[in-house]
Amino acid sequence: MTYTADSIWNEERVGTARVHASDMPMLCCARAMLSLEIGIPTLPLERILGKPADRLSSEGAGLLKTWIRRSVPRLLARFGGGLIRPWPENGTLVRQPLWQRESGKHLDIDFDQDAWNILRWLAHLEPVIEKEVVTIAPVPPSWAGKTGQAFFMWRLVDTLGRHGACGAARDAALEAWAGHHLPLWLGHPLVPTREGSKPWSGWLQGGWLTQLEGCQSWLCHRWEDEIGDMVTVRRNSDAWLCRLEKICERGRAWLKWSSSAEGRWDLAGPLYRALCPGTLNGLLETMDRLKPEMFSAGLSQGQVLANRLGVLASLFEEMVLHHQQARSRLYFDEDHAAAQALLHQVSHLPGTEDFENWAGHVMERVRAAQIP
Amino acid sequence: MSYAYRIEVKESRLVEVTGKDSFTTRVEVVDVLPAPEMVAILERRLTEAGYQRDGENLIHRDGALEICVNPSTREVVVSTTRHGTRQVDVKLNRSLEAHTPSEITGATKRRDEIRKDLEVEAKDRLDQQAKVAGNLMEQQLRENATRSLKEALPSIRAELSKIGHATQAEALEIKARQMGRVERVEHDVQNQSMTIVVKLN
Repeated sequence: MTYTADSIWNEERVGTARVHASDMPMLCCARAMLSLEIGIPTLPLERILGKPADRLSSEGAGLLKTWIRRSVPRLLARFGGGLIRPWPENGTLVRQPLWQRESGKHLDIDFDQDAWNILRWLAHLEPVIEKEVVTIAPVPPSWAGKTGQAFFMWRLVDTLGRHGACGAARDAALEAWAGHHLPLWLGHPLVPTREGSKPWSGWLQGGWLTQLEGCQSWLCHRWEDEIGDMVTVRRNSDAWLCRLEKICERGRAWLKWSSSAEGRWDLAGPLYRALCPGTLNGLLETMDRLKPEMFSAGLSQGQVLANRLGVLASLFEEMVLHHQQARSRLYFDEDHAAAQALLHQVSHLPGTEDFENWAGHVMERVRAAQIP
Repeated sequence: MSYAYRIEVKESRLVEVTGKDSFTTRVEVVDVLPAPEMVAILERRLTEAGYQRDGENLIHRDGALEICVNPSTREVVVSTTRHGTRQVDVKLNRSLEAHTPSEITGATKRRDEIRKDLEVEAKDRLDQQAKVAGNLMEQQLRENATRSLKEALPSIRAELSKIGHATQAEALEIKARQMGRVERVEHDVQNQSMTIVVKLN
């Protein structure tokens, strides 16, 4: 039996292709993972049709290749690569989107057997739900060894839903991969990093850098989501402070990485954008609302809790230092262009043109919240 | 002939409870001179403000309020304690009836046994009630302590800020004299600022 699948489901239609029934689960997974929607989980595992085969038919493989060829550049453009902003290139600052680079080979992302294994794992996933506990098969290897594999890892985590069987699969994948996948590590600050993680230097070249630069908007949205969650979801002060500590710790690690990452200061831009007044004011108001609860058991116990707010002030102190270090890069320094790219982003933050003034305001709010 | 006995046991205890609260802050001073000199200046300023030496700390007491400053670390612990006592009473009684000669004969022994049981039960109840009363009282005393500490904190902060600024001012003057000839010193006590004009050597 054969099925028909749309060759392109969004703006363009180039006809249909006949594929085998056993291709459908794999193609459904790929279609969801290559969707252009930002942050909206679109993959209901329960509705994947049929039993997946171990390999696609030639028609199914051809269709998948077409989808990848057309969707990957669009995804990278949508999630950050399409922004017309200053990019450091060969020591100068050039205002262009990501794909208008000197050499097209830098955009190469190879989809090989390792990438295929990610898709295959997802299509073969049969979650077992017993007593509301979901168990799934072990995730594929936790090293992002190839660019295509890393790309699918990123899309899989972003596409799966947060609850039920999807949520269990997503959480397991994140826990296994975040320590080896820089965008996932930066974009999910609450996921702990395992010991023995690979160094991030490999992400500063070729297809790896393309992916990193192409998800800059996505990173900003992820952090906005995490901070929004701190505002909208009611938690007691201890649980709220635990989340704040983890988020700030990851932010500091991000700054430390960007200042040592071959001078790519601009790659910390999403962090600055996510912590602008528009996003952070809600969190500061929540902090003020939690203050009476923190001090409800007395000043001494309240002070122990309130002192933990210092992590937010520490993060902004480091951002100020990071910003000043970027400003100190001279025109003959190799990383001058990247530093200028960051400064351009920071000088155009929504809600403030003076980042250091805004940082001072945040630190003052934290200090005020620490006084009973 | 019948006899009726009434056995009564009373236990009482005086529960003493302390409720306390504290807050930690610092005297904010910038080191413009070597640490030992800064410590000496701060100690002198605290002593002038009425603080008294207690080991490595300088302490000021005002009723139940205590301000303890460590000049070396500049850490300040402000604490207040409230004491309270409450009498907790437990009274238990039981009746014993003896109708027959044998019951009357054994009544004394029975009475003693019952009394012993009641004493044990009364002690247990007293322990429980004393614990509950103590916890409630401690919470109330602690809340009182917290309230009084919150009320006192603004004035304490202001006083510590004044001492900190005085220390800083004295240290800056000494430093200025080391750098050259001091031509003019102006203090703005209200705004806690100062201007020093130095002719460098």
